[in-house]
Amino acid sequence: MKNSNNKRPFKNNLCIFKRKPILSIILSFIILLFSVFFIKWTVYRFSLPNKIVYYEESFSKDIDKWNALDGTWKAKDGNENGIIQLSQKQYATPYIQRNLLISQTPPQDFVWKTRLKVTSFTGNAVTLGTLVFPTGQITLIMNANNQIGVSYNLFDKPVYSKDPFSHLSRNQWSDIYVLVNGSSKKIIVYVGDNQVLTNQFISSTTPVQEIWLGAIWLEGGGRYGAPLNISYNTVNLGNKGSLPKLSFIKYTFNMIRAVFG
Amino acid sequence: MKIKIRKIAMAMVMLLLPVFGTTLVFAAGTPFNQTVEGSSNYFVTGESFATNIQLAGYNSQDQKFYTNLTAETTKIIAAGGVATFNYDINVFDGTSISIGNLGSYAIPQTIVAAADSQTVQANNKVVTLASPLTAQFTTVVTIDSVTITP
Repeated sequence: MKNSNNKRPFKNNLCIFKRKPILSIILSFIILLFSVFFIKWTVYRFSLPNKIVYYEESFSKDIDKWNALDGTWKAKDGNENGIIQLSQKQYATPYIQRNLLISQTPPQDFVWKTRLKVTSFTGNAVTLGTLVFPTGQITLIMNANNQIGVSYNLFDKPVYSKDPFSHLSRNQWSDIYVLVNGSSKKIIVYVGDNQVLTNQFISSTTPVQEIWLGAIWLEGGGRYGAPLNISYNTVNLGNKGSLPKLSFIKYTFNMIRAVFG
Repeated sequence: MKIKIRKIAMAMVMLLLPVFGTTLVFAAGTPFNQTVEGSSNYFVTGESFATNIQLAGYNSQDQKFYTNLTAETTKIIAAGGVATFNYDINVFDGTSISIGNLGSYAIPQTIVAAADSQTVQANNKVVTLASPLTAQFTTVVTIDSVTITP
């Protein structure tokens, strides 16, 4: 045995194929998958465009440019600088709203990012934010089970994500991204770097006329309530480059999840 | 075994009681007599009233306030008779200041019940508010009059 090995050193390295064929097949399959994922991930990372921001609000000074109902500006909240806290006091629907100038409007494909912290709200669900277009609107919602969803009309049945990662942690700052894809008539919602929901959106996505943060609706199809304590730190409209850049592990994990459901 | 069945039957009745209870309240709720203030004489007979009033929806964008309600009369309806309800909806803020109305005593809204029916449901009646809805608010639905034809 030793002699034959010395004669054919190359074959010796691949000895595992002979001795444990099943294990070796599995191993090579994993290595193959890994390389495919790695190549795909490299392509994905290089295909991401540079970040362009069309409109940004970080509430660093005040909310003077916004119309506010029961919205309070705070200089600090933990590590966050400049936040807006919505809590129901005088009005049934605490919100902040502003109109956008045409120059601040993104093209029909863009990313809407909101950094927020949900502590408490009344009712079965709450509206977190809305983009208003000339012929429609996209409203981001959250239900009492902390699932993220979307709705386009007060009396529509809301669509919630069934993804386990769509659960937003209460009392914690999170980033929610909505990839508005006007050209392919759909939207994709991300909580952090987890893609949680894809839904059709047939209306035109340009220009964005208004941004609303907070309670745009009460009751209706989703039995919406009002914010008792919901804070916002940032809202911006950017290109695809504003989406979170997935690490290789995260990317692979998502691919595997996509394959196995 | 017999006892067991009887016990189950009892439990069923106990379970059904609250269901019937609530149905009865909605079906034949007691008319209430409240004062109606006005510039001339209004008589509140309590024969007809609104019940099951609920906020169906509110949209901050256009300040539209949607109400569902059931109008009911205790007046006798002859066979084939149709009841027509004249009503109005008023929304008041926490300090009882009116922030919007749909119809009025002078120009009421109308809903028509099905023949032989003493009740009719109206859904998504829209009151456009003059100012944003306050955290405390009151919706008042007044059945101004009921006519029964023939």
